[in-house]
Amino acid sequence: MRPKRLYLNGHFNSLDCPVSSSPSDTATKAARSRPLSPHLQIFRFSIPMLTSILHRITGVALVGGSFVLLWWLVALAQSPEAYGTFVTIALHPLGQICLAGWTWAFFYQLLNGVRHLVYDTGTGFKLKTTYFTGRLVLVLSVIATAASWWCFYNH
Amino acid sequence: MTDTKIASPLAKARGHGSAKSGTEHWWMVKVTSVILIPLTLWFFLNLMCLISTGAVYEDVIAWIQKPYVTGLMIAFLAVNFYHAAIGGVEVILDYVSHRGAQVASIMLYNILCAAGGLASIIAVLYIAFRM
Repeated sequence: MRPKRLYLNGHFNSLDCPVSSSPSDTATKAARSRPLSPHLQIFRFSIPMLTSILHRITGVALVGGSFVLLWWLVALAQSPEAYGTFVTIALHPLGQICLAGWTWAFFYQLLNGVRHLVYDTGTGFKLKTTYFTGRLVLVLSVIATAASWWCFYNH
Repeated sequence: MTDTKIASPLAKARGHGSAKSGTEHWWMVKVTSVILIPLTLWFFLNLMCLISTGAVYEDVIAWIQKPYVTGLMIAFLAVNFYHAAIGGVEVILDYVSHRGAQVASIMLYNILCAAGGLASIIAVLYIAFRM
């Protein structure tokens, strides 16, 4: 059994790298054995890894969502018929799935964004704290999404 | 061989330097994200209110036509698309390594975000000022 270790996303023990340790190495040899960043599958799954990847994915998704928002506004500006087309597509099961996805992406990006703003003050970097806030963001984003959609369907 | 052999790491790094705008970029991402916290929540909660009260076309138009809603919507859209532009550029920089493709895709992406922001703000103004 390997001891349970906590890994921070993107960070690895520098001793794991194939870097030449002897200070007497020539520049040529040092250039040949430059440390390589481990590839994606080398990393063991971790919460900070997941929260980081999800932050990027939800960010990209929300750019797409912004253009749906643009479509909504243009439809409103255009005519009741154009707005009707938007509503019809939004109420279609596929539209609803997309909108639910965007709702979660919004809450996730919002909560994890706040987590990063807390990081920027220099706090919350302890591994235990990082894992806790990561799980908290994941759970709260799902709860907020579920609560919002429960409200949509039970008004 | 070549003189790169005797060049210090610093000499090798010189000339390939950073864009020298990293801090400014990072700071603007942070500033816009702080502004977006209240604005996105305000928009989302109002959207929920509109849906839960069974708002139809005229109700949504009437809501946007309220002067403070028009103002907040324009602020929200401007900051949102600006945040999308500067945040998305980081993703392009990470995955597009070819310099030419990088410059071209960043240009295209920024134009797309600027156009999205402009078009959505014009739509809000159009709704607000039509009779």
